[in-house]
Amino acid sequence: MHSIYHRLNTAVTFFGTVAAVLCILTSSTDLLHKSNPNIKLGLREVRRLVQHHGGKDQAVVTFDVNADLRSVFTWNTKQLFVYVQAEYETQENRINEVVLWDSIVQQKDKAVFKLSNHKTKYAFIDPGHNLRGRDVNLTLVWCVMPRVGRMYTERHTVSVGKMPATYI
Amino acid sequence: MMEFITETYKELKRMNVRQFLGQALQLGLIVTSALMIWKSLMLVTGSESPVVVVLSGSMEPGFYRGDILFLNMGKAPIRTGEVVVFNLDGRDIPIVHRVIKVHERRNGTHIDVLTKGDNNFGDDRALYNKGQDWLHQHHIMGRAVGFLPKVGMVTIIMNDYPYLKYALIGVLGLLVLTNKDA
Repeated sequence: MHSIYHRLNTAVTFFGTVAAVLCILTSSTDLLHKSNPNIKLGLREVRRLVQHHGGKDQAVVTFDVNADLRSVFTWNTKQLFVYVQAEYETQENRINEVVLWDSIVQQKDKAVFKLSNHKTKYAFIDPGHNLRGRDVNLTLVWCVMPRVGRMYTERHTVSVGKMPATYI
Repeated sequence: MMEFITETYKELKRMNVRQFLGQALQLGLIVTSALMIWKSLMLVTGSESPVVVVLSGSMEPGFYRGDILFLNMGKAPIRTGEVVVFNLDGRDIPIVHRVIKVHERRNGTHIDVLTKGDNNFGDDRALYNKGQDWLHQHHIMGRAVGFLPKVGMVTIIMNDYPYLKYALIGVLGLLVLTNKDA
């Protein structure tokens, strides 16, 4: 009855069960966690607004971020993927979301951002020519990537007014 | 090892047809239950492959090779920041990357999506087919909602050394066939 196979099978099954239960418990502690991040975000300057090759509008902008995301971290947080995006509506599109800048934070102490007049990391390009005079929102988004379990995303949006009415 | 083989052989010889059929049924039950669980997961998540193993380092340091992702398709439209699994037309291997641009038409029927690996310098246009600038809804197989580190390394090793896979399946099958408890 108590062959090596049986002992091995029982041990492996028990290990698997315990590991699975621990993973579920660990991930569920995140559900109880409440964060209160402190965020200020704004568009500083539109340096240029031009027609990119092929008639696509491209804006060169700078932005300010003053954010403290340290409270988002828990013991199960592996990293935050933090990014800033521009959002706007056009006649054709209900949703336009363009990521301008991103950063990966792996330590709690480093989840403080103080960016002033910061250049974008990625080009702000519209697939059409819809950026002139456009109402734009900026959003700071943080994707929480866990050591194990559920991934989730939270965001903070501010309206930053209109883009220039003419190409500059 | 030799002992195990001779023992198994003796065991198989000792069984009568009725016993053998019973054990074979047992084995069949295990295989079909696994299939049923997989297919049910497909139905529940709405994704054609509910669990994927990360095969490349393009999403490091978030996901490493061998990490497991649980996917869900859901009804909600794709948005930036989500990690999606997509399959390009005419390619076999799905890619796991993050969405960095979304343009959704007013009537909601068409969506343009651009992706990028967190660890890659540029966006995925270099990866897409020639002349393709965007992903659309039909390319996307699911979005990652859950994460389990390292466990998928087993499948990567088995894919790298197929004989190991056959050996493992063979041994497990024999063990089930000769199991005396059933």
